[in-house]
Amino acid sequence: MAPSADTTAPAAVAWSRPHPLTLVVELGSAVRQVVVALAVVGFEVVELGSLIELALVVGPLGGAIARWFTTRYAVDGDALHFHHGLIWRRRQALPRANIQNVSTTAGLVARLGSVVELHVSDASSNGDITLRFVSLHDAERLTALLRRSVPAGDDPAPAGGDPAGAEPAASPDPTEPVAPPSSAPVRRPPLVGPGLGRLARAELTTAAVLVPGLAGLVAVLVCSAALAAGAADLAPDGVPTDGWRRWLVLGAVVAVAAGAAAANLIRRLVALGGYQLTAEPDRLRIQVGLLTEARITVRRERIQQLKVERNLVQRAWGVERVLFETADLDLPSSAGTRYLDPAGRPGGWRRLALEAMGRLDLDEPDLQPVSRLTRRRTMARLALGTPLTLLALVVPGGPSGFAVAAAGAIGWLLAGWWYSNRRYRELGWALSADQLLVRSGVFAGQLCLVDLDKVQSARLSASLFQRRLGLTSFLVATAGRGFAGLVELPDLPRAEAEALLARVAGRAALTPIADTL
Amino acid sequence: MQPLPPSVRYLWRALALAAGVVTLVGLGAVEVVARRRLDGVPGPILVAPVVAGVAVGTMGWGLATVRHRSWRFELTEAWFQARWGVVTHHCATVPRNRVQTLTTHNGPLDRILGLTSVTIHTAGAGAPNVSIPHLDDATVDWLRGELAHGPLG
Repeated sequence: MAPSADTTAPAAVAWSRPHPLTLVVELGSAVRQVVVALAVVGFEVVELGSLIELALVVGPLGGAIARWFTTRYAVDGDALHFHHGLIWRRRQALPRANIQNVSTTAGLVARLGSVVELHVSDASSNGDITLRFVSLHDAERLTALLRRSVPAGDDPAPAGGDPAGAEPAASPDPTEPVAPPSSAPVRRPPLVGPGLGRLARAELTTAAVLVPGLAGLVAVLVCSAALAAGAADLAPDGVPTDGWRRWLVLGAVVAVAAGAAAANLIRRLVALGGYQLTAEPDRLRIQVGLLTEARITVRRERIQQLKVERNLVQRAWGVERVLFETADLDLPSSAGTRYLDPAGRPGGWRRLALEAMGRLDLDEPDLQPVSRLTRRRTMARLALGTPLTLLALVVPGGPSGFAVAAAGAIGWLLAGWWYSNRRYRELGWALSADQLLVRSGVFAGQLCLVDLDKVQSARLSASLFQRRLGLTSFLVATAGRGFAGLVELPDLPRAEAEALLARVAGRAALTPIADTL
Repeated sequence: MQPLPPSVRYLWRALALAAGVVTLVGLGAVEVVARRRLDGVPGPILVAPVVAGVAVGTMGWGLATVRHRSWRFELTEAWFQARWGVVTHHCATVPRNRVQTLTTHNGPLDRILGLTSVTIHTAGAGAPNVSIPHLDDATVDWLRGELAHGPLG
């Protein structure tokens, strides 16, 4: 899916330039470069007429203007063509059939100017095209054009009253320019649109907020213990009494911890605020962001897998987050660009799975457990930590610490017993003719739904201890980003794992690669 | 399923022996320097380096044997499958129509022995690739030709 060199760009296509505001933004950034350069050189040594200073000023400004004049783009029936650069010329054609998704981003300045940055992604890691900036109208028009890559007869979208139906059919002649749609797209009610309150509630349960909060709590406890032991000199001088000093130190620690948690919460809310998911006949549209607004269009057939995240706190609070994976490896990493629902209600993933993947054959009641022996394996792994626990408690406690150490070791083993049983209950899998559903995780629970058509490879692995118990772990890889594209199912009975591998790989072997990415 | 060529076992054994020799020479050099600079270093000369070198060489030799025995691969009409691993056993299956690229690499020793390592890549940044070490050139050519054509039938 790598972009091809645009050696055959047809001359007949209608080329467009970025919005003129781009020139202003480019000049603004050039001025910033000039100011930085002058600050480095020193304003006092600048003499007008000096060649160096002239180059410092003229270079970035000229470069900005040249970049704008040398950037142009066009869409024909076959591809999005992009020409850019004066010295290092980049000519790129991104075949429309390879487009994974089209997204727009608009910061505050861009929104004031009614322009957006349009990002067209393919499945490769460096083949994306970014048009900075285009007008909102142009962005809508391009999005409407680019999301249409199949001939009209094969389009699953109904013709009447649908935005896809209002668009022109892909031309049989790939060199013929494509006309813009004749009418504005129909606005649909959002499928998902959590309010700021629910988003805040969901975000309070995420690691980004919980971790600083817990770290702050630990810091408060440590400081309290230190102060109780008489280390009042932790506080700065100039505070009248020891009592005040203690409160001052504790207050500072609490303020730092609460500040870090609040900062993370606000950052996440700004990124996720205004989230809306709209379903259209063959694609999903996401709009997200309070300050910088991102809009993402995802074709349903590009979705590799659906993931439901629900950690321990989220389960207690009745919140779950639904994400999707595509083969686009460098989709803008704004917080909301991979969510189908950033603050969902328990069980809401089913409706989203139907919308995103077109079908849902499996549900959680269908899940079957992995081998019971997984509990023994988990306990064995945790028991290895017992001597370390003993050592950690005995060494600082000296001879009198044996009782504490023994209690600690027993506590550790009891916690291990609870964890191994809980992990066994959480682990489960179900397989239909077309889909695989896997649930895992005690503290960070996860539910993964994979279309078997999207499987790229499958793998079994068995460690020494697993083999003694007759267990095997099963791993499925889809074309997602990094580890996000992988689904692991540990501790299946060996024969069951072998059968699962044969079924999954056999099904994947029947699907052409073009239908998987 | 096909095993790796027998020459791979010899290559790995040779590397194990080389590792043993490097251990012996390295530790021997350290001991000689230590004995020259420090008085009263206990024990007979060079015993520890020899024991360590022999241990490394022997373990490496044995590991080379079982590692070679653990490697198996096959190409069916539907997929490529490889099984390997001494402590942790692995079995990777890649449908033939999922192969994105096939890369080969061979170092100087490989070239002397007429061996080439092959890696089969699939789509996705996290999808684990399958690497088969030290195949003979004829097998590599056969694999390259077969996988370039995608699925049979």
